[in-house]
Amino acid sequence: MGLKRYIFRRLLLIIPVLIGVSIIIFSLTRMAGDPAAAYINEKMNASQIADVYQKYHFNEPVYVQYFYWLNGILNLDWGWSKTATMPVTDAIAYYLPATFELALTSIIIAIIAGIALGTTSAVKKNRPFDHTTRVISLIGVSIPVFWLGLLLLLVFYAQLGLFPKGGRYSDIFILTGVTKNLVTGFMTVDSLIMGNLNFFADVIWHLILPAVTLSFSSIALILRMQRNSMLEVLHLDYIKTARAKGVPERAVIRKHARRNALIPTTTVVGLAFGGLLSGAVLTESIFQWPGLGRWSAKSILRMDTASILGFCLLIAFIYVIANLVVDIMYAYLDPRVKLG
Amino acid sequence: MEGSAPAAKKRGMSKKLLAVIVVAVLLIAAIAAAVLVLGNQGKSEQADNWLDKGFNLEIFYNSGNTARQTACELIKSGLESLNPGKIKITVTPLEWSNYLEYRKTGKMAAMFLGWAPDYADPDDYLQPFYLSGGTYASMIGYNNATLDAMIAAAAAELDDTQRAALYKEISMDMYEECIYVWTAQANNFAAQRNWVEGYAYNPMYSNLYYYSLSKTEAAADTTTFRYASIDGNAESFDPVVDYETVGGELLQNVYETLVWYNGTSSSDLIPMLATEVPTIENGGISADGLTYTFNIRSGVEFSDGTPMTAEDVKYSFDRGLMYNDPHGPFWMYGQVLIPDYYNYGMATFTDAGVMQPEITQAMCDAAIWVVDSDTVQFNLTQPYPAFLSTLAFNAGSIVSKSYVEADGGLSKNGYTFMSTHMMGTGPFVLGDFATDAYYNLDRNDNYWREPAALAHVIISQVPEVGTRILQLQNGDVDAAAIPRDKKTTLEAMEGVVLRTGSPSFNVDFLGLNQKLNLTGANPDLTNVPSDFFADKNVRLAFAHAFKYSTYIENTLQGTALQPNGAIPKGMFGYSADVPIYDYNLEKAKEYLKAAKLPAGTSSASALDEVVAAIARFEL
Repeated sequence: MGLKRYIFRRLLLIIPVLIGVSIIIFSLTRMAGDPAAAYINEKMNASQIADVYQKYHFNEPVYVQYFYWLNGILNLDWGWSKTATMPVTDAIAYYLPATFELALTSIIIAIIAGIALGTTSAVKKNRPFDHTTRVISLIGVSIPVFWLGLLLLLVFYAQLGLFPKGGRYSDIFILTGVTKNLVTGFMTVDSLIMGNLNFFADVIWHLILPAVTLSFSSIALILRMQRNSMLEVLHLDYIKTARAKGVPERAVIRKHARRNALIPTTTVVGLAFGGLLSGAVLTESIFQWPGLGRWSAKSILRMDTASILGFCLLIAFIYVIANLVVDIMYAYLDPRVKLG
Repeated sequence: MEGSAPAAKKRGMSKKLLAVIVVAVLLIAAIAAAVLVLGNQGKSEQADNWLDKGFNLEIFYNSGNTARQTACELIKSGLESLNPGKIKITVTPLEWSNYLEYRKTGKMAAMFLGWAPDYADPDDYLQPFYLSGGTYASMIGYNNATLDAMIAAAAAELDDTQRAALYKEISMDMYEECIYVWTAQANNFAAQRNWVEGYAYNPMYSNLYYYSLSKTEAAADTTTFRYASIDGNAESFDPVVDYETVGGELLQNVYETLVWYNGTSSSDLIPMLATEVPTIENGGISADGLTYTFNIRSGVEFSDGTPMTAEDVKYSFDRGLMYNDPHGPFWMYGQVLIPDYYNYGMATFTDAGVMQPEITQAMCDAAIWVVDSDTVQFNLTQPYPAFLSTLAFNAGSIVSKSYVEADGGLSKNGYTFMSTHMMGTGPFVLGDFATDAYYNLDRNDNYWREPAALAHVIISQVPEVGTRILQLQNGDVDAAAIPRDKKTTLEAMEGVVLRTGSPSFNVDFLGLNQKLNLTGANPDLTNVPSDFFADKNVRLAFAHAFKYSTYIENTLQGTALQPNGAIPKGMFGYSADVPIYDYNLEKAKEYLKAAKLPAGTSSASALDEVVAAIARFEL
């Protein structure tokens, strides 16, 4: 009961957050340049340009424009995304699954690798394994993602031919009409709905390289966080007690230490996942991934304000939810934490 | 002795006084001499021209365009070397949204830009560049009533020989006037695998015309053509709305027009959905140049099997004219088919989605009518020989009336439907597509000519150029969009051929604003008067200060040529006799020297010179 009320209260808090975000972003887009730019092309004459200002209310005061926009948002008319050439709501529905699928795969890789490596490094503190992971995580956070992505593509696609050239699936599924029957936009889900295991395997095959590229910096973060928090936990009295009781070392590490060490790591995972969901421009560009990152970057470059605003609202929403999930995870991992 | 002391003191004082007076006189004389000398020097050097006076000027380009950035740097170094320290050029990148604002307010003194035509006719260059109120003419504050009349006369001239002569005359005059600095006309630049056959470059194509392409046995897959394109979506699949090249490529492969470009030639049109290209000689064009008659090819079917008739032709143009999208291309028909076309706006729709056009069906009926099922006539408001070229543009695509009518027709729903659906007579049909990912075209097996050699085309969007290069190198794509600066990489790549050498119709130029808006201008960046570029000598100096050969050979890797004016090489009306400006700093100096400062504001006054001289003294 307490949890339900807590979640409800937190969800209510989203509203002022979104209003705040929208006011800031709206003001910024109106300050940064001419919002009409996205609707005007080189070949239009003066009267046609004037019509654009009229139609989109660009010649009215900013606060009036804001209310026109807010009214649209509430009526589920988020405007037209010139960049995606579809309504902003459709664009979000189109890009979000692609990004979500990639982010989820990548965070799963990061969690598994990060926690395993972090835990082991803590146990083998200052031994060669620990030094190796330290170097790996240092490289992980400092390597430019576009360089890593291109390198992986060069080696695993161009040289070894182990992975595909990019995109979400192979051309053959386009030519055989499989891709005309997509339902959700989550390719892994759609392929299973269709019962097409070849397609499913192909989708996973396409996910790996971009997901690994994207997971690299998260692995480093999670690894370091888990290592430090493990080190702290391993010095606590209850661990000593467990060992004194004669609990096998494996069980001490897995059951007693690791679970408790996960609490601070969860925060990092939550934030990292939020970050991955807001799109990864460079990874998406290198691997031809039709995701939120590319959409938002292109929208910003062409001053497509409807898209920018829709994207920012979505990201604010995702972050609020991610934080909420992290808080709930706390309660699950640590019974002492009371929500409410 | 008592009295002698003051006397001696007095003597001593007068001696001192004398010394002071002498020193003072000497000093005054020295200052006077200095002022005189320096003043004279100032006078002998007094600048009455822009070369000696010098100036600060800001030159703009659209941010991200590295070639144009280099162009800016080149003219900067040329101009600054004319009078080092006194001429200061600042190069400024502009985002599109800011560029628009600057352009609207006339705040750009000089800017590098490029123009690509809509239809292959010189009028599509002279209108924007020189006609009063034209896109660029208005941007640089240029108008010339005599020239306007010449442009109108040339556009309406029915005799080709005379028309060409008129364009040559205009080009010669404009060479003398030097309104713009023409920096480059790019050549085509296409990277393909060597198993691709049948490639013919036409400057009016939107990228590739897949009908002529095929693949040899050397390719692993000979039936599917894969193209790695840059990032970007088609605006719309509707020919009356789409006005960019991504959509243009789809339109030109799925739809067909009445007349079409002949291979690599864009001026020599061939009949496509018409049985012949109308001329005055064959009676297709009336003697007054106002009525165009097209006999429609019989036996042509849309890809769904419905026959294409004159009704479809009329319907295709009617639905574009009535919709009249201001962002779209239909102005090119409206301007010659609808009287006072520019008084009419875009159609509106009722809440129920019923169209309320400003250009009515009756107005369309007065311009286009079906004579019989195989014949359609167009009635122009003025003679306009470029009309045939406009019909070859994608906007003139013939859509299936029955297909559109089955899905909303001329209503809000109908237009929305057509933005994502295509039904044409062309060699390909639209297959699957995904935003930011790919477009797939499949062969139209019901095609009225020999079906295409390729069974499928996949145009995938690959934003990262490094990925595109890898894909081309691996042979996973047959062609890829790769920028010119990668020329050497491509040349070294095995199995890859570069198709280059034919001029495109894209011209790059430096616009010189003759009516500069100086409101809020920073004198450190721009301190010239608003009519700085109204002086022909200044413009000529700029034209001679640009290192054309460096730009073309180094920056554009030799894949361009220097234009001699607005009308590009290969276009009807181009004349090789029109000279080009050379990079010649001596000439540039002469012209800038001949560019006199406006009276009154000329150089610094004599008093300023003295103040300046004293200031230098103090330093």
